[in-house]
Amino acid sequence: MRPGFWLQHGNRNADDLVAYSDSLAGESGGRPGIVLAPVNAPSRLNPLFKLARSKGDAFLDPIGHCIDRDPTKTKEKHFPWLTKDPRPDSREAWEGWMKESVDHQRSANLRDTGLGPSILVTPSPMITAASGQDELYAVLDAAAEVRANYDNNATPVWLALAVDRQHLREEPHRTRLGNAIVSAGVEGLVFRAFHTELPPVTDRRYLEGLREVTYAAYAGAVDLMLPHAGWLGWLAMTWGAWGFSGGLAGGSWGDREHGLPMTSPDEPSNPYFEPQLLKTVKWRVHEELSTAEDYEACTCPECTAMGETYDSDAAKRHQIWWANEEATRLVGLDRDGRATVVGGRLDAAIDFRDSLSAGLQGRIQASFLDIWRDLI
Amino acid sequence: MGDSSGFTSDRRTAGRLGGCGSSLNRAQRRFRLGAGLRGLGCPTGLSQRQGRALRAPYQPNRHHDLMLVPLSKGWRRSSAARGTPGYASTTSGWRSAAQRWSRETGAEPSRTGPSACPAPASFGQPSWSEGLRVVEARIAMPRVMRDTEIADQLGPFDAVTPIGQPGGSGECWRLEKGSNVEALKIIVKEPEPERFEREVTALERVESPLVVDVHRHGEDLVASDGTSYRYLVSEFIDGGDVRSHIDSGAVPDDHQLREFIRGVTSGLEVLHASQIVHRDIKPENIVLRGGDWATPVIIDLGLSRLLDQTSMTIYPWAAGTWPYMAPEQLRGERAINQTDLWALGVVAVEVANGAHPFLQGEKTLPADWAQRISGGAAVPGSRPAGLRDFVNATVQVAAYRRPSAPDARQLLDAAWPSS
Repeated sequence: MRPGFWLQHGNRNADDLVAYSDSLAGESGGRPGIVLAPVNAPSRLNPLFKLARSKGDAFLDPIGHCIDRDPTKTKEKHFPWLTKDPRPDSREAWEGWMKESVDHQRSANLRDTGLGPSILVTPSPMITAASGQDELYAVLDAAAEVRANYDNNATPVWLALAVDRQHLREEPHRTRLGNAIVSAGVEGLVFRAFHTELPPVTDRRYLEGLREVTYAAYAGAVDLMLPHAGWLGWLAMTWGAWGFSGGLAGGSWGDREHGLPMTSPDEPSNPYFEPQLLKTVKWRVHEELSTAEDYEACTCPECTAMGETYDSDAAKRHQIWWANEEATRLVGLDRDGRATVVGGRLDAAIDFRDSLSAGLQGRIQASFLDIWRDLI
Repeated sequence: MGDSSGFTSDRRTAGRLGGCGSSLNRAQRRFRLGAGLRGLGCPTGLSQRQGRALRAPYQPNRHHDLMLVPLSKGWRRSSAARGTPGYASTTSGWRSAAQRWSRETGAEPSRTGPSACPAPASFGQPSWSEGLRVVEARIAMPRVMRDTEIADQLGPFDAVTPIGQPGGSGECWRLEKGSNVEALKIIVKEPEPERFEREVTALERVESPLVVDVHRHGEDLVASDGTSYRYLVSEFIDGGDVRSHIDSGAVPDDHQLREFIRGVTSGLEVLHASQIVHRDIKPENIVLRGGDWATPVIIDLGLSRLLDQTSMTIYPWAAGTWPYMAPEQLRGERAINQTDLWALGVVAVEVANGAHPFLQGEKTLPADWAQRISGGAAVPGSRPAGLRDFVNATVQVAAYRRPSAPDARQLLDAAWPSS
């Protein structure tokens, strides 16, 4: 499987996924894989999966953490294990729950007569630090049992883990998590650690924890995939992560803890990813930036087509184009090589930011660059 | 190990070790051995005192001092019922130390409640502060079996000889028949019901000169009072355990030390490849075949964890010998392969120094243990830098930062090549 950037399926723009992935195949970044999720009804999801898999790598992220969120009608009707009530509370119960999900990933309904997923994934509930180590171990043991049942299957079975931010921010949760990952005996890990910020994440303790967990996966030769992580996933590739995803939906660029009060919109109005700053800014701010002395206009196909008139879909594809290019640059490099590339990229971004007027610096809010650079 | 009362000199030169830094492998890169490898260029050249050769036979479980075991009401009742003398519990000392440890490290101090941990009846209600106690078991206890009873049931033998003092979970005997000599371990205490099966299952999986070879086992060795005991018959390893060598003042020279560490590392590699975590690596559980430091044998897999079997253990749970227990064990978390590497690093320093790197004579877990172990283990400057590299890599508080056994062996080979 091709590691690096993966295109994330979201409820919105789902129909454009495969076509856009195809269009990227001709770019230097190459064709990204596609991560699908049970967010649409089977009548929409199954053909989409079949089409995506027929074109390249694709798998179904089971998004097991949704069991701990308010159920949607789609999930209640079509994916009942995501709305399990009562919630499983033992290894045996989790094993049955996981089996339902993996059986769905393997089902003929999903793939019809086409290829099955590139990987299978055992789902994970949201494991909180407050629940102690029992749930973590129960999920790990249940996943091991499920994997053992599919041993003869040619498709690798990866482990998913979804944890709260305390697992990354606090000891001994962080070390316990790292130890669990290094000893999980899996080929790959689909990992989520929810945070409270809109991207880009600046919580240093969270980032340090992510670095440690990524290191643990690397030390244990576990391929670490960060779905929905967006540019944070790119940063984690520096530390040894295998890949990450982001999609056409704004929410697919940074998993945020569910249920937090929204004090600001999910994304800026008319968001535009600024390649020189590695973050999204308002189109209005972009227009200001483009007059700066050191500004370099983007020449990606989307921006070339878009010109100076904002287009929401083109702006989304522009960000994906960059993520795909940047991730591909890192694939194949060892960690030192990745650190050199990413460090250089961040240094250039910091230089550019610092060359801007104080007023403009205040509007773009790019202090994350210094924090990220420190952690390389 | 030869019989020597003198001194040996093991001088390494920069020239002999030059160039090893140019072929760094993955393990070395991962553990950042640059500084250590540079240090290898320094001649060490200091003498190491060698103690007298020890020929004391392997005496399984002779030393079970300061062992942490799960608090088991069933076990306590069982001990009392048998009227077995000789166990001195220092529960209160341990509890307070464990609570301090908990506060210092942020480990979970207690269960969230019965529903979060359906503990089996035999374990009572385990909790971090109440689930453990320190047991000193060096006090002599009467044997549960007579030699004639053993010979009648397992023999015939030419000789059945007691080995050492019974203690901990078992008592040991030497069985001789012609030129064939075996060791018998009778299980007299079972803090965990599954422990015996686990040891047998683990040992049956492994066939290596680096791990003690079990010949047979059974459950029906009957004492004169009618009590049935389970037993293991294994190869008899004549050479003494590492504890007895340390206690006698024997200190291996650099070459012997390297071969010892490499041998135990390879033994762990064998165990881990068989999905077994030993969980109780310590000087008492490593025997030197023929008294030779270069041929260590790992014994006593009674606390081992079988990674490919569904966990039977309810956490938090801790068992082992606390001076050698990794931080994750002391926190009552799950032991992983790297847990054994921590213990090996500690043992390596103890063998090199003749003294435990963190202990200062305490019998119970000291209050500042977390601070002591988080600072790393000091290696004497007279020893090769490769030892320091090995210890720095293995004695890491976070288990995931320690090497696996194969990586540790590669690290040792590169950082401290055989002379």
